[in-house]
Amino acid sequence: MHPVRELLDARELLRNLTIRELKVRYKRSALGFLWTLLNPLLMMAVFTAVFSTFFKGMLSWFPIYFLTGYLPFAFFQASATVATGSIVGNGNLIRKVYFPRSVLPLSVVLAQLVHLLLGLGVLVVAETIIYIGWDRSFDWWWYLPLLVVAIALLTIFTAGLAMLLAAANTFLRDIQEFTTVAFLMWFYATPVIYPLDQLPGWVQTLIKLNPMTHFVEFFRDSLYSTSLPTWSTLMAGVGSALGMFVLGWLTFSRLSRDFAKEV
Amino acid sequence: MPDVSHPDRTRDDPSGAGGGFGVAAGLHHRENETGRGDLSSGAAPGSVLVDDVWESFKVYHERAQGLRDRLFARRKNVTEEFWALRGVSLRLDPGDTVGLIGENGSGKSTLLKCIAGILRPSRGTVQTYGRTASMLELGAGFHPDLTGRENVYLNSSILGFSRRYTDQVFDEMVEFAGQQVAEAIDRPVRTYSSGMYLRLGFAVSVHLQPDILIIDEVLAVGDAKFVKKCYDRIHELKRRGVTIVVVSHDLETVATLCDRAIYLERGKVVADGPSVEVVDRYRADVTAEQGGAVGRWEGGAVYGSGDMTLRDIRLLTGGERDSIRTGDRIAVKFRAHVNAEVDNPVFGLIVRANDGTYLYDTNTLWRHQETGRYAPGDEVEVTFELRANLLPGRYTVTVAASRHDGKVVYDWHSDALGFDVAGEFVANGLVELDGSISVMPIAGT
Ligand SMILES: Nc1ncnc2c1ncn2[C@@H]1O[C@H](COP(=O)(O)OP(=O)(O)OP(=O)(O)O)[C@@H](O)[C@H]1O
Ligand SMILES: [Mg+2]
Repeated sequence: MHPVRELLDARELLRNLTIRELKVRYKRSALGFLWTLLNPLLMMAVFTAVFSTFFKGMLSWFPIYFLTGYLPFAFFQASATVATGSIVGNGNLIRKVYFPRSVLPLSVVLAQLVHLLLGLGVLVVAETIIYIGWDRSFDWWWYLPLLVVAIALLTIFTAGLAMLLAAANTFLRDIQEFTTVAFLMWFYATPVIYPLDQLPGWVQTLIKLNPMTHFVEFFRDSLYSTSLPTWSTLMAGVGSALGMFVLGWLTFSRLSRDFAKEV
Repeated sequence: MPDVSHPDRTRDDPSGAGGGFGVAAGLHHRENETGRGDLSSGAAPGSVLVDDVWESFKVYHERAQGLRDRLFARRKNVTEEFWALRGVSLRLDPGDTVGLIGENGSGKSTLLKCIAGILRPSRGTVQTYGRTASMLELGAGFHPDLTGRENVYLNSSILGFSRRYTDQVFDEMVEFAGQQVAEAIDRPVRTYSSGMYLRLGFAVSVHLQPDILIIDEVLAVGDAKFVKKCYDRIHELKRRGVTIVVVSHDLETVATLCDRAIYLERGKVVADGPSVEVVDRYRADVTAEQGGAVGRWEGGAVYGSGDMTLRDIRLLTGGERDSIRTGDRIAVKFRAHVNAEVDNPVFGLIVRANDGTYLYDTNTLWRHQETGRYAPGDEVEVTFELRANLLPGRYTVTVAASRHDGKVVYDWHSDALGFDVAGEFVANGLVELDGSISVMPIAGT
C-alpha cells in the first residue's frame, strides 16, 4: 500500500498518539494544561523586561509583538526537538509492532499544534481587549484567513523537519545533542525579539534565507501589523514549507525501513 | 505480472462476528515489495509467501552510534554483517498453524518480524495477504502514566483497531483480563502488578481478528488458569481459520497447537513438515548435540517368562561416530542368558518410529533360522545387522526372545534402545525410498 494511504488509514492512531502526548505531559503536574499558557507568558515577561526599552518607539505593544513571533517559533522548536527523539524513544514499540512509523513524529507536531492554537486563542482575546480599550489597529479578524494559511504552512514545514530529524537521529544520535544549540541559534536568526527592518541590509538578506523568518512574518502580518504579506514572501513560505515536507517525508520513508534494526 | 497489489482490499468483514470490523476499520495495511509475479494462486487472505529471504544485521564491535564512529566506521572496519536469515522460503496457506522452533539465535524472531513487516528483508520478498497482527510483546506501547482504559484504546489503535471496534469489544477484553484488572481499569498501569499488565496486554491482542496472527513466546503469561484461557482463545482463532505463526521453546505446545512446524538453524530452514515429526527431529538434534542419544535410553516395559534373560543390548554404528546417518549400516547386539532348557528359541527385533509407528519387525522364526539347543547357564550372543534406510528422526528398537513357535515370550524389552538418525533433509517421513526427481521439458509442446 502506498505510504500516504497507509498514513491516512492510521489517522486514528495518529489522533490517539497525539492525545497520549498531551495527556502524559500534564498528567502528573498540578497546573496541568495551564503551563501551555504560562510558559509563553513568563517568556514574554522576561523578554519584555529586557528588550522593550531597547526598541522603544520602534515597536508598540512589545509583548504582543513578542508573542506573535514567539508562539510560532516555540511551536516549531518544541515539535522539532521532541520529534527528534520520537523514534529512538519509542524503540520498544518500533521493534515489536508494525505501524506506519511516521505517526510518531507527526503526533508530536500535532500535540504541539494544540498548544499553539491555545496560545493563539489567548493572544487574540488579549488583542480584542486592546482593540476595544486602546488601539483600533488590532482588527485581527479581517486577517483570519491569513492566520490560517500561516498556521498551515508552519505546520507543514515543521512536520517535514520533524520527520527529517527523527529519521536522521535514529542513525546518527549526535543530532539529539546538537538540537539545543542549533535551535538557540535558529531563534536568534529569526526576528522574534527584534524587528527585521532595523537590521543592516545584508543581514536582512541573510535572515530572509531562514524560512522561519517568513512564517513568523505571516503571523505578524495577521496578528500584529494587520497587513498583507507580499507575494514574494508568501511564495517563499509556500516553497519552503512544501520543500521541507517533501524532503522530510522522502528521507523518513527511505530510512524508516531499517528503524527496527537501529533502535 | 498479475496484479496482487491489493489483494486484501476486496475482502469483507472476515470476523464472522459481524463486529463492524470491516476493511476500513482494520489493522494497518501493509504491502511488501511485490514478488516475482508467480503468486496469483496464493493470494487468499491469510496467505504468507516468504521467498528466499535473507536478513543481515550490522554488528558493531563497539557501541558506535556517534558521528565519529559513523564517519570512520568503514575505514576501521568496526561493523560487520551478520546474517540472521539465510535464504528462507515458506508458503503459508490460510488457516495454517505453524510453529517455529530452533535454538536461541537461530532467527525465529527475525523471521517473525519480517513477516510482521517490522523488519525489511535485506534480500528476497515477503508477501502477506490480509491483515497481520503481531504479538511480539504484550502491552507494547502501554504508557505507565495512562490508565488501563486509556492504554487499551491506545494499544488497540497501535495494533490497528478502530475506536469503534474497541468500543464493542472493550467489556469483553476487560472481562477476559480478569477481576483484578477490571477493578483497576481506571488506574494508571504503572500501579499494576506485572501479571495484570501482561493480562491486559494479552486481552487486547487476542481480541484482534486478523487473518494472520504472529506470536513470539508470549503465551506463558500469568497463572495456570489464565494460560489455559489464552490457549482456548488461540484455538478458537485457529478454528476460525486464522493463519497462526507461533514461536515457542515449549515443544509440547508446538506439537499440540500447530499442525506444521518449521525448524530453523542458523537462519536456514532445516525441516518443515507435520509438527510432531519436526519437533521429534529437533529433539533428536538437541539430544544428539548433548553427546548422542545412542545407548543412553531409558527403555520401555520388560517382561517375559524368564527362561532367558537378555542383557547388554547395544547398538553398534559403522564407524566411531555415535550418530547414525541415513543409509548407514548398524547392528543391534545382545547377550541372552539361558535360565531353563530351551530348544530353538526365537530371537526377534522390532524398529519403531518415536511415536510408535511400526516400521520393521523380523525374527528367526520367520526366517526359518535354526538357533540351537541350550541348557541353563549357557550364554548366546545375537546380532541383527540392518541398514538404516531411515529418514532423520528418532527411532527405537525392541528386542525379544521367545519359544520356538513364538507363543511364549521368554524376555521382551520394549524400546530397549533409542537412536537418532541424522542426515540431509531432502524428504519427510520415515523411510528412505531412495527417491530422485527428474524434471524435463517435453519438446514440441
Ligand atoms: N537488532 C539486531 N542487531 C544485531 N543482531 C541482531 C539483531 N536482532 C537479532 N540479531 C541477531 O540475529 C540472530 C537471530 O536472532 P533472533 O532474535 O531471530 O533469534 P531467535 O531464534 O528468536 O532466538 P531466541 O530463541 O533466543 O528468541 C541472533 O544471533 C541475534 O544476535
Ligand atoms: Mg526470539
